[in-house]
Amino acid sequence: MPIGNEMAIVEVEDVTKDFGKTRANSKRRPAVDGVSLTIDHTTRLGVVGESGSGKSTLARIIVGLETPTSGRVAYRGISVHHMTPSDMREFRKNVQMISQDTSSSFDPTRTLRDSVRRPAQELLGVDKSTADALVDETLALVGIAPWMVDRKPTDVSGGQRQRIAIARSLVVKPALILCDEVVSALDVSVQGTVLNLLKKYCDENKAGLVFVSHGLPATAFVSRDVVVMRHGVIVEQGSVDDVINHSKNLYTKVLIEAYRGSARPLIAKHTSVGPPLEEAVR
Amino acid sequence: MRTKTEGTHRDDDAATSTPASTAVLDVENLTVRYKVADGDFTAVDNVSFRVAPGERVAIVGESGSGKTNTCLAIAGVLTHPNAVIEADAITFQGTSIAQRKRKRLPQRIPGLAMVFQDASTSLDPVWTVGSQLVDILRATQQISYKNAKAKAAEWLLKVGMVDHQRVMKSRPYELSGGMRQRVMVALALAGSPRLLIADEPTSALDATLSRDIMQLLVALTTEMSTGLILVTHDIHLAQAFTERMLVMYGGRIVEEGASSTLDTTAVHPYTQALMRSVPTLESADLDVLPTIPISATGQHDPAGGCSFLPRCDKAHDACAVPPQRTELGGGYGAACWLAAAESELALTAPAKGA
Repeated sequence: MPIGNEMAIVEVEDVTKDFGKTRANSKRRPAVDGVSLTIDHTTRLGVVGESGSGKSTLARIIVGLETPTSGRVAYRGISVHHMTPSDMREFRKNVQMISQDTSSSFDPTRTLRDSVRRPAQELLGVDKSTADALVDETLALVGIAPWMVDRKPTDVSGGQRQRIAIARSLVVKPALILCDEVVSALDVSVQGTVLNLLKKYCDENKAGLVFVSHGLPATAFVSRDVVVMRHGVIVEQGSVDDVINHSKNLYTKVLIEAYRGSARPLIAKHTSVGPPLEEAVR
Repeated sequence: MRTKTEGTHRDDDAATSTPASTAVLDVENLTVRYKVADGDFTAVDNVSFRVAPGERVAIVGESGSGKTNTCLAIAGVLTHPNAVIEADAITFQGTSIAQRKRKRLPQRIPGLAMVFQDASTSLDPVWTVGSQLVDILRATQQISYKNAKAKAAEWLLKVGMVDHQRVMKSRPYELSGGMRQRVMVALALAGSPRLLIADEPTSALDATLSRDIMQLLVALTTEMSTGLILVTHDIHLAQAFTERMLVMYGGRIVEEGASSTLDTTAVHPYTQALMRSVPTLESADLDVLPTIPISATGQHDPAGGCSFLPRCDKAHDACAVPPQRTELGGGYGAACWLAAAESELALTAPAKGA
């Protein structure tokens, strides 16, 4: 049953994910609590929030890796969590997720080329030589020499592996990319390269981008709009400029101040070790 | 809890030109090599520096620049079977630690503590936080179990854990990432070390937490006048929380400068590029982020010459010869021909020299 926006690639409707209570944590709240979003090919959405705010869970729900407790995620009107295999292939071809931990997301027994070629073969249905040509083309985009991918995942650096992971997602020319902390583990010098290429890809291919990160500056660079999440709820939503310069939410203000503050020495200001910030804001 | 309000009692200039006798740590010509299939790989190349008591020094650089290897070698925990550590001297609190008998197991150096990036794998999952703290306290001080337990609770409070009773009884995996990092800080400082090496202590944390933990480290090390070596790839973080900065590239220290003024005084093109490439809130207005070019092969090891040459936007003919360190005054310096040219300029025309 198609719903709402014709243009939308993915619609997230009132999604909640509750992992349940545990013995150690009897007061655990839902990881994601009533989140709604509409994502189309013009979307450049940054999702920021501290660890545990539910931003990664939200991304995993959108690509179908987690099933929501309630609410629904629809890809072009079809529920992501109840798809036929052929719809699923179509969905996978068009919606790709890039995760933070590339050391565990590549098959250690295969060469990197095998891993990058596979989505091209499986999802685009092209033969091996065409797929290889596509792989080389995409690798050039992320600045990786073709011979490098003949290695195993453990034989390249983290920055190279992250760029190869991006190539693996871009090789099928997705219409929507979800990035979960893709630059958090990278050197600042490599971060810029990765962010530039993501932005360029989305602009040139008219692809949507959802950028999940706890790093506000990187998010502000690639995004046009930002949602701030805290305890599973969207606490603030707006354009990058609105959120950074005219934030209304206390947590957002503290977050922004942490970045503004880090540009100048804080030592002289510091008089005592007060209660931790996360306590103070809660 | 008491903390000194205004910085420290030291004079910054005095600290940078610390005589060897008063330095808490004195490293001279430290080299770390790894024996690999095709010869030797030099991870750390002739690194020398000093840390004064209570001084905060940052070591910044990209991955593979040798910053972590430098610290591991100093702390005596570099036990990789293929690693070869050479140094003219590593003197910690007046005693040489370079000539210690090498063992397979890491050796504890009294007075030296480390905080690592990944608190979830560096804390022992078997024991409760309380018992780990008590162990450290009893190993470093002659106190009863009961007193140690009271002190452990006090330490947890010091690092900002209000419900220390619960934390005492928790195992590390029952705590959040930020809490674990606080526990790491408490464990590292409970033994009253003279020097704390913090290797990317906040890189895995978000900005607000990161600032909290850094403030905590600064406040507590200042209170105890413990020296701090902060290893990080975030040059802005290093600027905000340290006094002196060592910038490493390709295993060498390419620039040493005052942290707070480095954005205007940096001479080495690598330092300048590193500063530019950190995204800030203002980067939202940019179309393209400034980057340091990376070669497709990831290799930046030219045949002779300056190691930064292939990526440098200010490279010229002189760079074919590896530059030596040029002293820039105040104990600072840079290993770049531009620095050499600048200091010559300053000598010939002192009025114009900036």
